[in-house]
Amino acid sequence: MTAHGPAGPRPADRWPAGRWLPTLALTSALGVMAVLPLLAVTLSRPDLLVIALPIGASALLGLVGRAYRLPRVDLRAEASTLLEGESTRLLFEIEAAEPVDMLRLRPVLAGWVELPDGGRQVCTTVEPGRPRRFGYRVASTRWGRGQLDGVLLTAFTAQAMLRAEVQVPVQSAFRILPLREGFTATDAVPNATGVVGLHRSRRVGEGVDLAGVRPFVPGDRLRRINWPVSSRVGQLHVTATYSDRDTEVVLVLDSTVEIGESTGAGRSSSTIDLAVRAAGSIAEHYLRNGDRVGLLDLGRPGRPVRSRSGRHQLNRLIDILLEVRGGSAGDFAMARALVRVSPRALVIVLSPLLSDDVADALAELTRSGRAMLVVDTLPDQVEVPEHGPWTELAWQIQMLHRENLAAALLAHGVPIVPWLGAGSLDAVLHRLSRMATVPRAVRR
Amino acid sequence: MSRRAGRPDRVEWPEDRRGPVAGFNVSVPRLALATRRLSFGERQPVPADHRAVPVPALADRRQWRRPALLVRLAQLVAGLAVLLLAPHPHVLVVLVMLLGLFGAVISPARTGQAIVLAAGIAGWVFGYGAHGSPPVLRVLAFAVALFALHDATSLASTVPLTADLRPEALFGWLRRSAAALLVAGVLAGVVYGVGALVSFHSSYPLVLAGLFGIAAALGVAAWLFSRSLR
Repeated sequence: MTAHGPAGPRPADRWPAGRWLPTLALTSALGVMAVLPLLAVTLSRPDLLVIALPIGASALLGLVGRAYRLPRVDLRAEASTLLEGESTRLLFEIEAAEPVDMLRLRPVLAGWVELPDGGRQVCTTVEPGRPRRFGYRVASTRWGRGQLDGVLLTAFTAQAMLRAEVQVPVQSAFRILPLREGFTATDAVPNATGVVGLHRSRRVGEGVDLAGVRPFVPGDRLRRINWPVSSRVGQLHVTATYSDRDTEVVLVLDSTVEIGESTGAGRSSSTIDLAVRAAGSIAEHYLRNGDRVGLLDLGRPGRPVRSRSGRHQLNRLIDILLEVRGGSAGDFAMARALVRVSPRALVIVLSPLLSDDVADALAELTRSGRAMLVVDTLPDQVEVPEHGPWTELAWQIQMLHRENLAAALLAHGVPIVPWLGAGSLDAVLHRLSRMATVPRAVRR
Repeated sequence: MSRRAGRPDRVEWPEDRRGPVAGFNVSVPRLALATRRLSFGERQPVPADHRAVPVPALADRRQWRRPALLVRLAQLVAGLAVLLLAPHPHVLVVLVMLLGLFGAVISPARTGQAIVLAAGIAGWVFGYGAHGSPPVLRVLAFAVALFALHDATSLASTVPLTADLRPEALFGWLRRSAAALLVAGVLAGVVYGVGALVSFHSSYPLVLAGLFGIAAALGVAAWLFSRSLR
């Protein structure tokens, strides 16, 4: 019996021998076959023999036609990459060399995948030369990774008087991407300084957005000449445009504190759930616009992802995001990692604002002159386990502390926005862009 | 705010939130406009659901499947038929049988099946006395009921309540059961035919043949079970 994932090899042409064990049905049938005929003979009662006949015949016929080898299971998953809440099908193909009365199959899953409807098992049968195919739906519950560890197969033969159980090993992994909420943002970014991209730069150059009309100077392209203005004024004028540039966006993920129960898409979310989903959406948006995006997980500040552009970078960031776990790091390590962020990068911090250390580090980063905004990732409804009568009060104190932290950050000029999906950051990005044009004194 | 070596400044509550922030020259209220939808007071903890389930087997009752339930119903009907066909059963036998039947329906792979079969047979044997001769039709009905009970319990042990039973598996099972009943019917005809010719009470050779038959049947069953892979 073999099985494999989407890219696995074909199973070997060999029928595995099973270890068949007697069930209680066989014991009962043998008991009936022994006791009733004995009573029939000793008491001279043929009716007892007749009563034993159907059960005896069923047992003997079943044992004569019993199977000795287990069926072979071939298994494939239709897709190995899923979005949160999305489902795929596991395709089974079962072949048998001998007839098996009943087969029960159940995939054994690990990670963030589940069988809908509570993992319903399928009871079927298979006959030689007539492979049976059917599918199992597997749904992802939450971003992260899922794995199909195997298929638990229970086979019955001889009218369920013999039973064999085996777990078919399977190597099939699922990659569950965080929900992409269709995030879009304005093209206003504080420092559009790259070479190519879609953001409007403050510099005049090749682009689409109108910057003005000015007199022609040697070197201007002829196709830039604005003929209506030139004919009206009597002198050659050209249309000036702002150049399109790319920017660098660094996503800072605060995974030092996790609050809330992470139960999957459409259900209750934890702070890290929200942060990861927001990070995925923001990264996808900017990378599709040709920008360079990097990632810094404050739970693992020693392993930042350098800013790069392109589809490969998106895959890399998603892979890193799938590994995010709640965990704390030293405040010094966090501050050191944040200091290394490029001074001209747009820093988007995804944080529930529950950690003093993180707030310290962000304040320091702001004072060094970086364009930064904080996306609040504390969900509206937070599921917390009940820890006695003080839970409610402790929560209120925690929220007061959070309010203090947020107010202090605001006072330092750090804008804080709640994560609301598309357009969440537009207003703040506009203001940050305007701020970038203001002369300022920065303590470095 | 003073800067300490090797450590960033501690965020402190500002004395005047409206004043310009050093390094930005931007008034705080302008930026705070972006946070107008941020309301800290709305976030309320929702206690996690930790309700205990009194009977684990009933926890997923909404997912029970009709074919699996029908198999259990067949078990129940066959068990009640066995109980009703037994002549004047003792109260103790009835109680044991009902308990066994309940156990067999709830958990078919456990000993309830053996208990209900044993109780049913005991009720039949003791109901008609040591040398009783029940009517043939009643014997046949009891034999079929007992077989149906055994067969339905075996089938139920393979189909959990939440499992999908494919029609081809059910029909294959019923086909094999019908074949066993057919063979048993022919053999029952032979038994009653021989009984019409020879008296079971006086024929010692028949007793010997019966004992030999029992030993042979059990031996064949044991051999079939233990036969190694071809």
